[in-house]
Amino acid sequence: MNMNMEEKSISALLHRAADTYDPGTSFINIETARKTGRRRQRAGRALTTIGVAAATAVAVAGVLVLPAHFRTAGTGGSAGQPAASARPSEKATVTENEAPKSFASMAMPAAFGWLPAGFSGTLPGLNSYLAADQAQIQVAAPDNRMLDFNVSPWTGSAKPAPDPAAADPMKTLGPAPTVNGEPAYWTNYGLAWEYAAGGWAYLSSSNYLGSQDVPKGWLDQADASAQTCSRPSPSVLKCATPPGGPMSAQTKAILEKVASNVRWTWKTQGWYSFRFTHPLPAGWRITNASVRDGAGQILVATTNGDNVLALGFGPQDGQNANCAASSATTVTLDGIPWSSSSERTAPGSMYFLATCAPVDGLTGEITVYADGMSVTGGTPQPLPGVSELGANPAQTIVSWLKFLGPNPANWTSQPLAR
Amino acid sequence: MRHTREAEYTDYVAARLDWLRRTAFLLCKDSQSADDLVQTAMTRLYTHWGKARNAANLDAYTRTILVRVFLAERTSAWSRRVTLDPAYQDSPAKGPDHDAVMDVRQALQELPPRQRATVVLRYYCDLTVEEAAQIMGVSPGTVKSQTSKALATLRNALAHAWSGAA
Repeated sequence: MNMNMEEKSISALLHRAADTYDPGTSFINIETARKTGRRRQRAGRALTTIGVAAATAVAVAGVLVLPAHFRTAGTGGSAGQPAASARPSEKATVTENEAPKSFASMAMPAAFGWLPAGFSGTLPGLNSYLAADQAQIQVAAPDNRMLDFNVSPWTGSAKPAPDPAAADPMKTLGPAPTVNGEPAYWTNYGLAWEYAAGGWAYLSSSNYLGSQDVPKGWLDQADASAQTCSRPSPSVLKCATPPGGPMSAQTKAILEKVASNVRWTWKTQGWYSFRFTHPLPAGWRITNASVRDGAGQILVATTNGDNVLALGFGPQDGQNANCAASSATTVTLDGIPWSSSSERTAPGSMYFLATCAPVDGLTGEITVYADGMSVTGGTPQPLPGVSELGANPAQTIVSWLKFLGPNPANWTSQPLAR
Repeated sequence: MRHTREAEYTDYVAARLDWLRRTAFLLCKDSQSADDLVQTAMTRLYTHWGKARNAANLDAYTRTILVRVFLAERTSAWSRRVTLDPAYQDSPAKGPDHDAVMDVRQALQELPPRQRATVVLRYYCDLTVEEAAQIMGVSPGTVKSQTSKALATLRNALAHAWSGAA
């Protein structure tokens, strides 16, 4: 490759930057990659075999056969549970008292029945991340104390996963008092308990997204060491200094009480500030749902797992940075200015649309992936359904949306067109 | 047979892990995000190992996965909810060019993800415009324009360092 002097200098600097990279402790785990990969292969085969509708039934089956006390412990335990019957073959794969194999992607599995003073378990003071293989709920107090609640579907592990022997920062420190009769352990991040056979729930008091101002008396030394933690992805908590050491009796008592009062509702509790008035194209399904600052966002992918649409709107987002992007143009839709941009790719394009002024009090953005950024095949392919969206897919998506305003009381838990 | 495939995968990833982490670090700006990217790419590679192990250039296949996972994550709506504690900074190993390395890392951080990926593919992986375009799934013209913008940003960011070194 011919390079000019400037390019050669850049190249040399990049190589030096990479060569001098000293990452220190690695959290990468090949075994975890293999396990997760195998699980996704199985899930992919199941989807291929039984199709989208049946795949939904699998998730429903997981809910329907949960232990009886999970279905009745919470308020409205049956609310939000689809009435559709599960196929016998899928239902048979989950036995009584066994954790579900996967979660419904938009359903929060549980709610808090008790929280320490200052915490709010109700929207909008709640962040969450919901996917088939993980549910995460985060609550915060105004003084930046945080509780992080994670639930995994069936892992088959008899102890909190990941395995202490694996190269993962989480370690089991010892047994904890049972949580509603279920086995529990203390880990270096907090409390873990087996909410159903093979499925684990985790509760920690880390303040990884919070400020450095940790109120005294709440976090002990072990927790406080997590101040330099971050969560680069929803499933990973990383710390410059892995927390360890004894946890204060006060922290333990609080975590035990929160855990024992968790209500397993399995109902959809994400609230969305928008609603689709048009059905999604065939072959699209919601793979992740998240709630950030109380406002729901969703990611839609094809049945092959390729991202095809991402959108989120809320009163908290403010002016979108994309409005200032030099490559964007302003389009007016129903009197509202939007920042529109696209990126030409092979064989399609990516389309972005961001609100430059509030739409019914909401701001946010839409991304349509039309380029087939798939690694599932050798040659990128146009994603299914995108051709139905016309010349500007993002603008078509806008026309399919009804915005519900900034008041969470008017939002919906069912954003898809029925 | 399965055992052989698993062993091949494990051996390959173990052997190429250092390379993957360094490439991911240049893309991601910090070691934590880089580790996550590598972990995700490794998982993706495993799910496609049957195809990957027969690829003409396995490293190129793996690099394509790494870059596409990086780009897909950075364009998702909720990548915004990922927050890295600014107090936690990676520092290069001490050496005679410590400051220069810090400068180029800082300059890379100022690039948008796609421009950063373009620069890494072109000037770290030493790929041609066409090869970079194929990996990123964009046209060669897009790679050229992204490269041009990235070089302009890097030129400005590194001007001080270069003038100080002169």
